Amino acid sequence: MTMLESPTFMRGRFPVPAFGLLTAALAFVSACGEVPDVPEPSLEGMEVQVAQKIEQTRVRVMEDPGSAAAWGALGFVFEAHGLRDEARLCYQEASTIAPDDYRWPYYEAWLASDDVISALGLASEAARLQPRSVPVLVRKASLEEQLGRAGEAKSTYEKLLSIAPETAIVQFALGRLALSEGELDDAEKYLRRASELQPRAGAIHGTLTRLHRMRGDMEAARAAAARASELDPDIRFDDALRRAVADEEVSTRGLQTRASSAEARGNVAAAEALHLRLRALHPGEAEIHYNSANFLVRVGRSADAEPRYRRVLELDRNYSAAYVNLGNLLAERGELVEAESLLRRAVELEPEEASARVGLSNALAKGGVMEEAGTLLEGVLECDPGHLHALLGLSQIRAAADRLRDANELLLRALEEHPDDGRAHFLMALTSARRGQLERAWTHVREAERLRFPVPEDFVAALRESAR
Amino acid sequence: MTWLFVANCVDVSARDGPLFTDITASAGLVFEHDPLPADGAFKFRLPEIMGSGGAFLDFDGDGDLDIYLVQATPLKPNRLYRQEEDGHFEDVTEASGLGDRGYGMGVAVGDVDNDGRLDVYVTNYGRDALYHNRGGGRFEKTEMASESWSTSAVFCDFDADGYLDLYVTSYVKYDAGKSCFKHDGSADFCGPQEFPGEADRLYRNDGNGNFTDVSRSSRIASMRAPGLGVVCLDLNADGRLDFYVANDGKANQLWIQQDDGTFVDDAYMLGAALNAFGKEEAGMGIATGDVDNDGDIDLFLTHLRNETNTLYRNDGELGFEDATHHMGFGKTGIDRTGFGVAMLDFDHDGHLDLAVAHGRVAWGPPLEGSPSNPSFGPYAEPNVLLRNVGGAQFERVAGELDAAIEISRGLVTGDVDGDGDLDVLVTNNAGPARLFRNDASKIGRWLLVRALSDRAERDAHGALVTVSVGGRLFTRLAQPGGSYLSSGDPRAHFGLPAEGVVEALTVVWPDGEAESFSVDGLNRVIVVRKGEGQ
Repeated sequence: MTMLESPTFMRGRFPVPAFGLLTAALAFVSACGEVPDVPEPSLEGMEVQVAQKIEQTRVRVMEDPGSAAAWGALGFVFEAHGLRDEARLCYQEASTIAPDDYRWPYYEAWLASDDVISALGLASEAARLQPRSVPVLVRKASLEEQLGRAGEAKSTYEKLLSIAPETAIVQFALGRLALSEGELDDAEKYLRRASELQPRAGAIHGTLTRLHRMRGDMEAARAAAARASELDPDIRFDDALRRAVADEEVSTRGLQTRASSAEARGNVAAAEALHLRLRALHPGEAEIHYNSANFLVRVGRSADAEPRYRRVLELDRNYSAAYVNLGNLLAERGELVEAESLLRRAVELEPEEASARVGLSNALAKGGVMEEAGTLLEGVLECDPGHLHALLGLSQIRAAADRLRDANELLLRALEEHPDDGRAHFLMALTSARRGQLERAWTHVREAERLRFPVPEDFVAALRESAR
Repeated sequence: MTWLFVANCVDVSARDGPLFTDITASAGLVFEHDPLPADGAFKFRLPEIMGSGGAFLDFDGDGDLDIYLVQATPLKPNRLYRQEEDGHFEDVTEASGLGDRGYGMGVAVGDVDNDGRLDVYVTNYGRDALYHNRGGGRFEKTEMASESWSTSAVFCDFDADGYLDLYVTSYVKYDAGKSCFKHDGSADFCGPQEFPGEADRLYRNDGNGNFTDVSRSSRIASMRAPGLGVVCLDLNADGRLDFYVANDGKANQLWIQQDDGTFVDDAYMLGAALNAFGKEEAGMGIATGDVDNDGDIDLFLTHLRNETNTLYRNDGELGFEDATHHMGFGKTGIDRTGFGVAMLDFDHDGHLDLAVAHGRVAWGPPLEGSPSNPSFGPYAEPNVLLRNVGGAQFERVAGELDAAIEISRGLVTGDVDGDGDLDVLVTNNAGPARLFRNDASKIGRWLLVRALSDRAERDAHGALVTVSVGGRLFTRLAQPGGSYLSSGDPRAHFGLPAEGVVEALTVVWPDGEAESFSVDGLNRVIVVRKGEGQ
């Protein structure tokens, strides 16, 4: 194996020395009065837009050094770009100017990670100034837990519960603390509520697993563990105070993160604006266009995604993932000839990549080329026997050839590995119905619906009709 | 009758002075790790920051520990150092044939052919290599087929057929063409989340010197994750060896062995997948030991800055519980990135302490005293020694281990000077390997137990040894694997109370069988062999 060369692409870098315009602005401020000691980090190597943002925000502080808001804003900009020491000084200055504003000790508490006791002191001060701020209390409680002060943490979480009872992270924390105290009924009450609030947070199911084990209910424990392992563990908690920091990040990495966060919050317009900004910053970078295209597919705008994928392939003829995604997109639209060609190219570029082979198989199956489609999926399953899409695709190919017993076996394997996949349940319902196993088909329809898979109404109607 | 020989009875009466002393130079251990690939250029390629490991091993069977150090750059070979009678280390790489020139990551040590000689497995970014020890200080290389990026590896006889098998963790499908940036947009190393994780590999030892890849049939290959650390022991007390894998930024895996020799990942079921907050952490190294002296083995994982290093306490039937904050680790700092880690009772008070190697993977302001190297200096951090206070809390203690601020990666323990306490070997990325002699004042007595298989003069990796002294039980694991990319002393080390007689020594062997042995005294090395107890 050899190490490949780094790409030739380079981000625009801030030149040294600094911009003439900003230097002039600083000189102006200097001439008009005393310049406070505003942190001045080296900007060398930073992306141009980051350096500009830092300099502009510094100038605002120098123009109005008595403004806590200006110092806080500079703290945000520093922190967002990894300049933690500089940010901490800014928050301290803001706090000195506006000692009653709870935000500044709160922000500083996040930067005191080398001294948890100090961090807790700061969070406690923020909580004193604003006793009903949910993010502040969550931070305080979390630090109390970290220091092993479970009783104090519990008390803070209970206070939070009275302020924001519908907060999953609080219910989860109380459940976790009750569990560690052996208070199983309380733990169950809190964890169940957390799970109702965020059913797709794997962490909650992980903790429920322990609860069931402690109760001796191994069957429930195993079900909860399986659910936890299928899901993203994170419990969502939207901290608007922290988001104010993140929103100041303007590096390429930061814009990408912000776009993802906006999309996760359902703010498609904001996410799209950030993708546009990224493309304007890096018009010649394939990955930026690729990420944009994937975003457009995720929000249901496949037609808009197509030109982006094509742009990726203009910029990089070997971008196999773009071949796969564009091929899949075209196959979905029924443009099978080009789809097949793109997907064959993807397989050529990365013969071991399962997604390329699954995509090609799908396009071939749509075109009626069942034998090769099946062979491709068999190859995928040889390498990865539990590959969900390969199992489902091959089951459909087998079912299309009236090999229902084989289809059934593949679906059983799929469900064993992925019991929470709605599509697998639906296909099992379909296969069961074709095999005359109507009761079994109903069971899987209900499971698919529980998992929010859109079971076609005409199938349900036909099943109902057969039952008569 | 039971213990077979006694060695090195040493007076360990209390002494004042430092806890550890850096004896690298005086021991003649000269090794500088170079992480740059063959082109010699620093380009923020991920392998350049991952470091390489090292091992304590008695490759020549003379009774003292030698040292093997893995080198990254293919321009320089890995190095083998033989310990001489006077405690100095002699570089015997050329004569041994152990100078692997792959882009080196880690090392595992075990006697794979039951000939009484330790063999060496080297993991690489690229093809791994197995070196059979042919005696006379010579090794013979066999190159492995897989080209995935291997990290840590461990030998143990999971199928109880009398031969050591091999588990190798794989990291990610790395693309060196991928560039990553820090928050200000300047270049930095990528994190593992930028690349697809790889499936680990399990090799069954066929007993004839060959290994068969059983990753798929055993189901180990059914999951892909960025694995960095691995340990092998019986984690659910069912008499079969299991594997626990630390994954970088993904849920950890606890591969529980089934009746048919396949494995099921029960990390969620047993509470060792996520931390108490339900978070996936950046698992790097793993230490195993009974930190609360309750008779079972707990797991301690090192993680990224802003995460804690996490203690998964073994609660028996209830599985594991994240006890990090109950045990004081929340106070001991989350501002460092941990890699190599070992549990050791450095002061013989009967409680397992912790030594943790630190070093960043993402740029940070250089710390005072960090190397002046402009490329790697900003990644250096001090290591830490944590004292276990009564099995209930851990606290930082100052000592020579944290004196040098470097990018530490591998960390293993072993009684290198034969005085009955555990010394420490640390490997550094883009820096020297360091050997620390344990000079701590001792509170109690010690015992080193070498647990041998019944088939050969071979260490029984994964044997659980329990000693009863004055009515108190102390359980320790005999297993060289663990930590990060490294391999340590295979013997079980005990710090024991200053008073009281040894009432019993029991061994639960890797196949689940248990035997008792009598012990005539402490402050000595004893050897116990399977089948010779009661």
